[in-house]
Amino acid sequence: MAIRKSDKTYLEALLELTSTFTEHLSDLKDRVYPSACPLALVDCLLQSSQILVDRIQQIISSSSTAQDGVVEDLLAQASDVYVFIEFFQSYVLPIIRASDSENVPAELVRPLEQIAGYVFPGSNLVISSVPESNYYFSEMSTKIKEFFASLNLESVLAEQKFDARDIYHLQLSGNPPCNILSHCLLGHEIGHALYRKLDVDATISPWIRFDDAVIKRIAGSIFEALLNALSASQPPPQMVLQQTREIIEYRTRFQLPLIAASWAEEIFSDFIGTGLFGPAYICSLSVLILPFDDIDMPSESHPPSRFRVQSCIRALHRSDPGFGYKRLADRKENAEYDALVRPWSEAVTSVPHRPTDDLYKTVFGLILSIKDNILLEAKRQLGTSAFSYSRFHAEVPQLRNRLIDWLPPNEYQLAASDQFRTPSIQAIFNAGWLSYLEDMNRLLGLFPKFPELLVRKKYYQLIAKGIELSNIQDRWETLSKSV
Amino acid sequence: MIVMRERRDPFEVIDIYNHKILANQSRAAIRRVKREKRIESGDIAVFKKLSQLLEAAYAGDQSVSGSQVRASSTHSLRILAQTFKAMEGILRNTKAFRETLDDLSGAAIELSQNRTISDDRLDSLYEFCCRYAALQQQLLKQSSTKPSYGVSVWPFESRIRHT
Repeated sequence: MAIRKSDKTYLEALLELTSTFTEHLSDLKDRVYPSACPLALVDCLLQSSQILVDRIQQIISSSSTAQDGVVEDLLAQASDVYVFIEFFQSYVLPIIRASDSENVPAELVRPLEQIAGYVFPGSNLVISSVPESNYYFSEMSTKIKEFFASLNLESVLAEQKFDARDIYHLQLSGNPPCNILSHCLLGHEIGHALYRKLDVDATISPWIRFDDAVIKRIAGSIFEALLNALSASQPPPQMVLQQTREIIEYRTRFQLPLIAASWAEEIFSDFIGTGLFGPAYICSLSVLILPFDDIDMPSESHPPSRFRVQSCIRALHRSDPGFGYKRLADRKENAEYDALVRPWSEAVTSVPHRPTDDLYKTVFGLILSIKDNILLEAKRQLGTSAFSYSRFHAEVPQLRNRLIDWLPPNEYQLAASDQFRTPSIQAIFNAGWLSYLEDMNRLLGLFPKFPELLVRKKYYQLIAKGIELSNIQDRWETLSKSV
Repeated sequence: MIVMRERRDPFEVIDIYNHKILANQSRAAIRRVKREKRIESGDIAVFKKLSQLLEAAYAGDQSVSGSQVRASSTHSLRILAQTFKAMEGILRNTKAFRETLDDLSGAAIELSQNRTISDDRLDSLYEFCCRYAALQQQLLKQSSTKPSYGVSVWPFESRIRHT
């Protein structure tokens, strides 16, 4: 029996869609990218689209003579091709477009690769820039491989040597609140990537437990609220009410641990950001999330903003468990650290947080009780990649002095061996934030005739230049050692 | 006025696409088993993936069914939540849901081991796959038309999640 006319039209439209997809890919192939990965992905997709065109043509010719059941199977195959193209067309092609050299500042590519390399050595990045204030850092090669495999296209990845790579997608905000200084937020996203890659969930999830009585109480209050909302004149039958109650209780059973697990992942990622960048992370996080009205409102995916900032400050401040930044013995030694953290500490401690919703209150209680364990786990995962207090204290004040003199924070120390010492990216970010918070009026005063916005822009460029120089220096040192 | 839009991570959306393809391929494979009364070698891999999905949901159910709810694995709880949503409307109580989940999981495992099952069980599995594919489609629609945490107008609206 022949294929239906509507199905034939669908297949022909799919063929056209695939051709358009190929055209878009050809356009992307002509662009210039600051890293190699986007182009490798375009090549894989171009090759795949050609295979898919052949497959659709084969489906069209086979379906005209096939029997009913087989036609249905062929249409299912066509549907899978559509899903494949739809995904890449809607989600991946915009990423590739946003990762060309017109969108991503080339001078940031190496430093960002270096930051990612602290935790994921040897990783390749697809860096894209978007107008929103959003950051992402997630592993993409495993999922791409899975997706290609579901359509038997693994050989394409192998041919382009894409299958052997460990590729991460890094999304930067094109308009962050404090320009380059806000990029410390990547620390949080690296935390998410670590959580997933190293299966930290397996360690943290068993700590998430709720008593039966608590669940019954929360489900009961949700049920009561539902009853109150129902019309009193026409109450539902008793059996329906009983079943609804049961269903609500069952939903609460997985909803509660799911919310707790999401919050635990967020807190873990915040601790990774804090450990990786020190006080600079707290500055970036606070500038982004504290200006909103209600910093005590949680959501299913995120704990309240006040609690997040409080937890990060506490983690940085304390020694056990924590990153040990607060040296109570020496007030002078603490000056830089205090200047970086105090504004945010004061902003979040003015009103204590009290969640009112029963469900969130329960999750909050649990997260409070396991917070220190999460911190210990984050410290364990970070290992030596954490930006220690001793490095902070040794590098940041001197780098700040360079910035006050309107010089890139770099090449600041001539050691006894006459070797330049390369400052770390974390130290540059911390010095950048320190000068931003403490010295901006002085810096603005140096250029009284210039608009403030322009001076601030130049300041951010100075930080970027410092990071770029630091990278060049680092590569030079590595090269000279290998020679 | 700057409108900031929260977008879902594309590589999280890929999971939905992968699940949708799995549900579609499972449907096609079940149709072939019904038609030809045997399991083709290529379909065994599809049934294996389907059985892993249902086993994850089953494990999620096990972890929440005791007197102390524990999140032994976030992945299994997420799959359980989706499976539960996919079956919403046809099962009126949790006992029936559990029994059905157990049966579906068992059926998928048998198929993945190249063992044929009754037409009734094939039909139940087929219906689940249809519902699961529809749910994934619904999730995709939400993710493409609606941002994950809503649209906020900076700096006038109060709330947005960024990181």
